[in-house]
Amino acid sequence: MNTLLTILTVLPTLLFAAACVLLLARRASVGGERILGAGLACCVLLLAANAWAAQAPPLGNMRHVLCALPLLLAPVWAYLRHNGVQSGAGIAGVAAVALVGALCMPLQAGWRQAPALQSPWFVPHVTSYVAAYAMLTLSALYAAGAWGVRQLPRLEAAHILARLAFPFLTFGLCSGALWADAAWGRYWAWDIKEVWSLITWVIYLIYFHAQNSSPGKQRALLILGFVAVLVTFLIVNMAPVAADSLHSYAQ
Amino acid sequence: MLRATGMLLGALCVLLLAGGLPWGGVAAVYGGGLMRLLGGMTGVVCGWAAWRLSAGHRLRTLLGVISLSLVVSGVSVFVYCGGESLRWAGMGGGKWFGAVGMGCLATVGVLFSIIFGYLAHLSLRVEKLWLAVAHLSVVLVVAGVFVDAYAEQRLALTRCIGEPSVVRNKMRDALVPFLVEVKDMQIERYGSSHTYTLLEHRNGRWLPIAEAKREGGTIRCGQEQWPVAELRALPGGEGRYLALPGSPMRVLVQQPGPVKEYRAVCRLSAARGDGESREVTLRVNAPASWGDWRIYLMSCSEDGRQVQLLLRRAPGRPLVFAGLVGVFLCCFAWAFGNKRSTQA
Repeated sequence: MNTLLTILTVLPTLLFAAACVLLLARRASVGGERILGAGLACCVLLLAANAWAAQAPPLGNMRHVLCALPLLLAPVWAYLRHNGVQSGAGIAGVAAVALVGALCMPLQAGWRQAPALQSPWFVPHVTSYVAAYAMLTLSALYAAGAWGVRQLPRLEAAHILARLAFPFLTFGLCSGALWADAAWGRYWAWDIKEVWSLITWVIYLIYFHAQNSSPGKQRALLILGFVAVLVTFLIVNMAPVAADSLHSYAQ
Repeated sequence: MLRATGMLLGALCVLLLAGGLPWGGVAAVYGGGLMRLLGGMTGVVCGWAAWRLSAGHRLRTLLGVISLSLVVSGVSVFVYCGGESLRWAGMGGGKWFGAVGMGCLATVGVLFSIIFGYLAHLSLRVEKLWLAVAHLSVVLVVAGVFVDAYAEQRLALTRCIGEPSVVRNKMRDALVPFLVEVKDMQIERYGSSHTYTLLEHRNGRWLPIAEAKREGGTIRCGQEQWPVAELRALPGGEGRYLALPGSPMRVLVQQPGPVKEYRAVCRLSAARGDGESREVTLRVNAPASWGDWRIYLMSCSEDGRQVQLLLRRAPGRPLVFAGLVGVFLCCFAWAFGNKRSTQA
């Protein structure tokens, strides 16, 4: 089973890397888009294999989440294509990096859903956060590349993505509070993961309140928001303080 | 106004950072007066922003808020009656009539939501009005949090099976209006036999890296195998372990299968007189209610003799929940309902 999971993770990683290179070389490459599609199809198989191994929706630890992230980028890709934004290279790049991250995580084949995770909120809460983080990563990529003549169109794309992601981020925060109320008897516990989720949300809130400021400030806020996403998702889970966190099962 | 809002949000962020730094954060700041002051200021500024954003459309905003609350009521009716309908249908026999009735009520709830959802959409068609309602929702959340900060009652209990209890809320010296008796408890586990997990020491923590399997008198994991007889009892626990030589440090642990679900059957009865009495099955994520009190199952002891319960009365909870639902609905309507109106 471990070998199968590793193969199913390596294969789409290579496909996404190839798609990213092709799409960077030629933005409207049909071959690149087909390879990206094939990578996403492999991710469906990976999700199914993870679900089979975990005997539950495979969203319970960082490896599961990183494996699911590329699939949540698929509707974003379709939406952006519909709006005339070529985002294939960025999506393939983010998906490849996410899967490389998944390969670095322990397989945790013995992971089982803890009692607190057996809730109808589990899938929507985690999925909305992963979708939001995926979109915000792309948004930060666009913001970071918004220089010179491409500044305004790229900032516009970054804004569209941040605006799409924000309701999902909000849903994650609100559903987390509702779930915590049922599971832990309090809707907010000032747990470090909760605090960083709130910090991320507040930074994007500042961004949306600063729409009349200069493009440079908006770019800085989008990148700062992404740093907060990284801390919430990676640093908080990996720091020793995570052992005491109520979200410790997410490691 | 926007600049003041930005400064307030920035201050909130700095305070959150002060407590939330993974290394050296001081979580005590969250319970302090400054946090409450900033929370209160956030509520006031959001109220003011809602008033300004709805300028010229205040009646429409009011109609929108009423319609939205009716939408939420309709959804609640659908969820509750739909669930009951399925439960009664599962019981079969004469309960089928009740199931059909509940199903009809659930359908009415859906229709109710659709009609008032459309009315809310008509009332709040102007982009700023969704934002006004979102700000009002934040005011509700802040109000609920403040009510709970001063009026919430919590009581953690550890109960043994068959032990009746008269519980007194020591925090406020107020009587809890019911008794809790744990009649039975069950721990459901994944798999029926023991599991063998290989743990590795990484970054100061023990992480599970592989599952091993028992084959007769040996435990096998990939190419490696160890005799079962070499496992030693885990101090202070049910499991057994074997420390493995080499670097990084590894240990093989034998444990009962991981817990799938805790269940506790409790009898709740009125504290005074011959009042109501009923039996409830508590699960994690599925608390029971008694009036405005909620009874949570937090955990069960591994030996199956004690359960940890939490009794809680939070008067601000409905406000917080209404606010959270409002914030989420308005964010979606704002993000997907309108195209960008300002330059990048």
